Amino acid sequence: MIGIMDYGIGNIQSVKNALEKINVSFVLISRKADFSKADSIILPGVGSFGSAMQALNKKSLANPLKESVLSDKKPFLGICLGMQLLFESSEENPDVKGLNIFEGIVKKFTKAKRVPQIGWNSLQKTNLESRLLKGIPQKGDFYYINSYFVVPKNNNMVTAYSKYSEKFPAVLEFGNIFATQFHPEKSGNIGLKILENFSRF
Amino acid sequence: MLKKRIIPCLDCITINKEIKVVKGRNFRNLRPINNPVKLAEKYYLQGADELCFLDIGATVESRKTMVSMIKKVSKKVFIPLTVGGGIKTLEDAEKLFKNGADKVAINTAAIENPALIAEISNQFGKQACVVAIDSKKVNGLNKVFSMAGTKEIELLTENWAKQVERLGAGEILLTSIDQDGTKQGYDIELTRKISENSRIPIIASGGCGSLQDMAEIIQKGKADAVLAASIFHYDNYSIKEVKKYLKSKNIDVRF
Repeated sequence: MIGIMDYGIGNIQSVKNALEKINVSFVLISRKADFSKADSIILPGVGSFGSAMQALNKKSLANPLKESVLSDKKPFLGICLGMQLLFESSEENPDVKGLNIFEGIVKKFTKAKRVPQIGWNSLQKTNLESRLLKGIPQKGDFYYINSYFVVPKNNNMVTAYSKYSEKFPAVLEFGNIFATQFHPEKSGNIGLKILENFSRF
Repeated sequence: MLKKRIIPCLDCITINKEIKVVKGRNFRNLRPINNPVKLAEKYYLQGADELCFLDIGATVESRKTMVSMIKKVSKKVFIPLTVGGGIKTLEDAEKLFKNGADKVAINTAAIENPALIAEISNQFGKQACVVAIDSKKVNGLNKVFSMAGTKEIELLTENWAKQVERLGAGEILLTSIDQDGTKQGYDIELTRKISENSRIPIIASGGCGSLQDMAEIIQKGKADAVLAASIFHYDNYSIKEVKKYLKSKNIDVRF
């Protein structure tokens, strides 16, 4: 059973629709007690770094989320902002602390003519073995909407990059923790395939 | 590399509580042609990059049918969905987002109440707020029109485009009323002008009649995405054919 973090931010409807389409059952996690129902966790997110952390903290979800991921080792998938929240902080809201699961920061695209990046962009897989990208073609296109990107201290967790005005991590995998900067739930069949892969972990 | 997007546009109208896709010319002479849910699924399977639904009737009743239609579409189609027409308040937008829309396009409401742009973009993110601008040449000037192209506004398209960007729009859907439905090609000059002065993506719309038109509006008009209706609705070209052609012109597209 996958738990979708429902913390009152962004649009979780499309993640629900995508899981229904691939016949994966899910529960919504909106309070601490809900974590026990979920074997794995998806953290979607649209909006700003600051407001998302504020919402997680206000609903007392940040600590139980970290516990589930770091102690209980539940498979975790962060999507878009849900990827960025794993880090220490973001240039978007420098005063706000992230979940701090990974060392590193979140930076803004400063060299791009158009911000946010909106649209389909291709992957460049790295040489690291990837469980999440099993069956995904080398240059697969996924749908992105982002003004910011993650800069991990440890690049050994990056299983794919993508390139906008600069090269940025598109997929992270570290033990039970997975994250995509793109939206698998909005990336057609190839995106559904990623969710399917995750649902088997 | 970021790809250029091909976006089929479904203009919708509600007749006897049933929603239909229609096609007209210069925003007039509308005729119903298909069921939007079926058509959306077809375009998705053909490889559309996004879909845009515009409720051109925009009555209280038709807004309700749009919400239930988008709910059905979002369970079958896994690409971004933009919905426009008759959205006047944050609540209207919220209802659409809760039922599967990813972006809303606002036009008349943005002109009458520019604060709505910031409200939507603060609440749901900048990417969720598309401002649609209908532009028509009047005495050599590009003027903004509201109310589905019927009301001339004392605003130059160039100025309004800059203003909506400042107010928080995530994208601009730029339609040339002069070209719309004529199949004579997009307004390249207008699109290039707006695109060069903008830091947000420009979706070009109105007038697409051929594959060359699409290549030109991307290469000469500098559009980030192209919207088209008739060439897809009447099966002149499939989305795959369009993309193959664009690729042969060295335009990066998704397959």
